[in-house]
Amino acid sequence: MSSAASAPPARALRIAFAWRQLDHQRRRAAAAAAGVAFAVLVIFLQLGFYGAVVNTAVAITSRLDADLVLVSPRFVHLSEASSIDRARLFQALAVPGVASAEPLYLRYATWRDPVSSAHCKLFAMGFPLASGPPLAVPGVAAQLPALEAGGSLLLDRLTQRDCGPRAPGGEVEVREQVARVVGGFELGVGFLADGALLTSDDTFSKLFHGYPLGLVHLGLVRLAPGADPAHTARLLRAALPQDTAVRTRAELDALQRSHWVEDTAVGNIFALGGIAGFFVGFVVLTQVLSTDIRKQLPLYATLKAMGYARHQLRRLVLEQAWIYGALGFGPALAIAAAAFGLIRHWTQLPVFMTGALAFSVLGLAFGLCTAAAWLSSRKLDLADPAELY
Amino acid sequence: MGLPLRSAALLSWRLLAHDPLRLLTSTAGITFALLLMLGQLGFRNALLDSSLELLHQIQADALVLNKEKLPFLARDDMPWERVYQALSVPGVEAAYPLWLDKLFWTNLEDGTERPIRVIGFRPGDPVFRNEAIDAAARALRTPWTALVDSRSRPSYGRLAPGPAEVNRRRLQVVGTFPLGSDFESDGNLIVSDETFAMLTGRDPRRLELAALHLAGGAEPGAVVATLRQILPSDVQVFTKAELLERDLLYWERGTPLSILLLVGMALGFAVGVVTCYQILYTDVLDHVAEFATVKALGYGAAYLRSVVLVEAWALALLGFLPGLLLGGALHLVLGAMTRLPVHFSWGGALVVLGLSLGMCTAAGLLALRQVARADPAELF
Repeated sequence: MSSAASAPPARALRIAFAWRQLDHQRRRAAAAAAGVAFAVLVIFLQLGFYGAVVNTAVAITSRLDADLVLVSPRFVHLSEASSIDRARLFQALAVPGVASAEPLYLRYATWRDPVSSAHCKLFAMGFPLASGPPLAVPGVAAQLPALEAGGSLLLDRLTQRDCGPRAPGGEVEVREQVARVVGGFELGVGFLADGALLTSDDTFSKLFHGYPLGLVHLGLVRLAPGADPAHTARLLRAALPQDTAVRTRAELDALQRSHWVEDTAVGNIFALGGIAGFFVGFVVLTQVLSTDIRKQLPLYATLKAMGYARHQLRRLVLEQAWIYGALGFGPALAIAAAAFGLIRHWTQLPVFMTGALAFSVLGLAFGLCTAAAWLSSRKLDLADPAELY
Repeated sequence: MGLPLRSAALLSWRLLAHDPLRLLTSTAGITFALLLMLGQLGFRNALLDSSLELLHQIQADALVLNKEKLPFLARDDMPWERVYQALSVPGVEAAYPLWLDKLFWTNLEDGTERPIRVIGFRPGDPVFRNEAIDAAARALRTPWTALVDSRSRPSYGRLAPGPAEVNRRRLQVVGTFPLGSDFESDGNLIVSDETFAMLTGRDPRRLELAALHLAGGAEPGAVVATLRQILPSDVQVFTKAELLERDLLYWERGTPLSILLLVGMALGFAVGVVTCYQILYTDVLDHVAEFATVKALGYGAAYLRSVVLVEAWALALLGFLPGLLLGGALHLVLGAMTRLPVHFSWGGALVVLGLSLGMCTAAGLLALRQVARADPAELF
């Protein structure tokens, strides 16, 4: 403390100045912080929604328990996955480095809860029980024995609430046939469908009126320990005919992401919303800072007369802007996190307050404040010590 | 009354124009808030419009479809017998079958295959409200011919008359019709019932829906009620208006996307109010001296209030113009990107104007209240 007192205008002192400036007019400071908070909240929500779109896109592909995936060359995205011949999976097994190649069947299933007669669209996934769970989702492996009974299924716990029974043992109609929920797992497919379900391949075939199991939507290839995915992918491409494409999981993720974010523009619209929020915040803060400066011109003129250089005064404005930013960011973060919770509860959409989101918005808020301070501190040149009295 | 208002307007304008840079940033703030709302509103409208467009294009008084078919764009078939059964009901003049499937269209420019919605009909049946389709009915009678949706996504490649490939089978595109993509499909193709059966290999006796035309004097509600009694429970019957209403509700309420877009819009409005409020509040505080002078000259508090409100409306109008222009551009970009029907309409422009005025009026009233509370010179 004593060293700060003897030093020339130290950092702590300057911050204290900026803080006093704010404290001087609490009401105005509160209004300014509220303006920034609102803009930051917009950025948070819009980017959070964007995140929900990305989470939707990769909800399934990023959790596939496979090193490589065989798909039809027609594959555009999961809900339009056309099929490949199951024989390709047996051919893949002959390729060195391939430990297993298992089928995954995908379909939209209409679903009706006989009690509430709620009508929903679920994303159904069927797989041979012997091959183990197709998704790396906790708890599925332990529930495989329960799926052996015909007509039994596991229901995603993040299915829309009004879609019906989530308690094990509940009976439902899937495509007008009786099925039984024997367990659950946690996935969350967002915009893709109202929910998801897992069944054995036999039940899948039965539910879809004898779906031919020779037609596979995804071939999940697991590699032997030590096998190089890129090298094995090359070998597979050479070994398999043109009717089958070999994709890494990252490639599948990228296809899904480009479909959801760009093709449908669902992602882009929220990204644009985030940008609009940034500019609104910038404008509000610029307004506030310019007015502050104008009102305090005599004070700045006095500081100038005391020998403060221009960049030092600018620095004061900058710090004031950062304080407004910090005051606005906290509440915005809290409100956004609460809003995400509510939206998750209502819509089951995968919107989350992640560290990455919080930090990127913090960065944007910082940039917004800095830019606003830069623009408004040009007003400082109006401060003329000669006009003080 | 006329004179004070004019002078109030003049004073408001002088106050605003006094600092051009600040006026510019203020206008930009309101414009961005409007753009935020417009983007979300436009996209939400596109979601709703595009999802109902196919149904809109079908010429029918009533429709018979699979009972699981919800929304209308979902695919679910029903037996052919329902067409005959529907025809037996008094008041039903004609029942036309339609077939629907999703096949793969080859982009001949790069060889990739993209899913496309294929609609089959009996050429000559008046089932579409589209002259281009009626005009091409004769040409479609030739097997392996098709009409392609000229507003399909660009990923399909060339969308013009000439050779094409669907499900690896060659066919001839003999014309185009405008429909546009939706959230279920990127494009559409129309073929004859015969070509449809050959392309899909499906049993033609399973069809997607029957479009019913009622006799001149028949009361649609009564006919539909009879149809519901007579037809088995594997199908549902709606008048076209009922079905449009059901689907609109499904897309508005049932899809989380439309809810998020609504949240985004409400947020845009709130931010607009906050921005406009900031601008007005600081402006009034900055000009306390001027306001005091005006009051000293004998003008009342009501006059000062009207000055602030006129300022609010001026800001609303100033933000509206660039908001409208940029919003129009944004819609063009969105439309080109998605091929969704993101139209601009005069009705839409009025909505923007209304939003802008509403936003700034709310902000003006709020600012007046705050100013009155913190009134240093007891002006208001």
